[in-house]
Amino acid sequence: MKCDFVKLGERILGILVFATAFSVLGYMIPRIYFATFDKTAYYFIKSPIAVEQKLYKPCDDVLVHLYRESLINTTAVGVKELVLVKSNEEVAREKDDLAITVGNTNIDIKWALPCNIDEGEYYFRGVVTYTVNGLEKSTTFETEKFTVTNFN
Amino acid sequence: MTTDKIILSIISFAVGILIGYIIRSSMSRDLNANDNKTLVLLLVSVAWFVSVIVEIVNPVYHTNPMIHGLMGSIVGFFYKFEMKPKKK
Repeated sequence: MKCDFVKLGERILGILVFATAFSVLGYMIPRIYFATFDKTAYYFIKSPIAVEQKLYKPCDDVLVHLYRESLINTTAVGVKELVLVKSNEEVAREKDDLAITVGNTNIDIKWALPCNIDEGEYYFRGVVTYTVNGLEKSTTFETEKFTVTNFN
Repeated sequence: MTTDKIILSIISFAVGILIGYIIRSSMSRDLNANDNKTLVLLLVSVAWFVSVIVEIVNPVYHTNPMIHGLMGSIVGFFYKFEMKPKKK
């Protein structure tokens, strides 16, 4: 009877050890691969992004023609900044939640200019952050430069 | 979607039982108990390895850690027999 308990204990120990090993390795191996070896850009935005016009007034909408490629369906967070070229100063910032679908797409978007900005040459730049297999990845973008002026 | 998954799981389970029964019927004459356990051990190990590879190839796919644990439990259960010295 004592011998049976020993066998049972050994069996349970074997189950626990292998279950733990398989769980840990099964969880860690893909993550180590994605963190160490995988350099794939799962989401890509072609830069510089073309802008419709070269001249804008404060409060105008800047129409941009964006081309993007995605290898996965995912959600992402995009942070976009309006930058004054002369001083490299960030004038405005906006954060957006994005739903990204697989495929290559041309998108036309209107990005609003603040009403209280100075005249000068500006561009938009930003980062889109998304998650692949529990790991955070990011892609950057920037638009062509355009001029903001109060004159018509 | 959930209904589809349940039906697919039931069909997979039934097909698995059928395949297992056929393999056992055809190989039972040639294999002893230890060989059968080794076969199960290898099949589950290969299935686990494939699930890890699929998770790498398809970054959207994610195997539940409980499934990894379940496969490890089966391998651990049978591996114990292989560790014992054979009596002659």
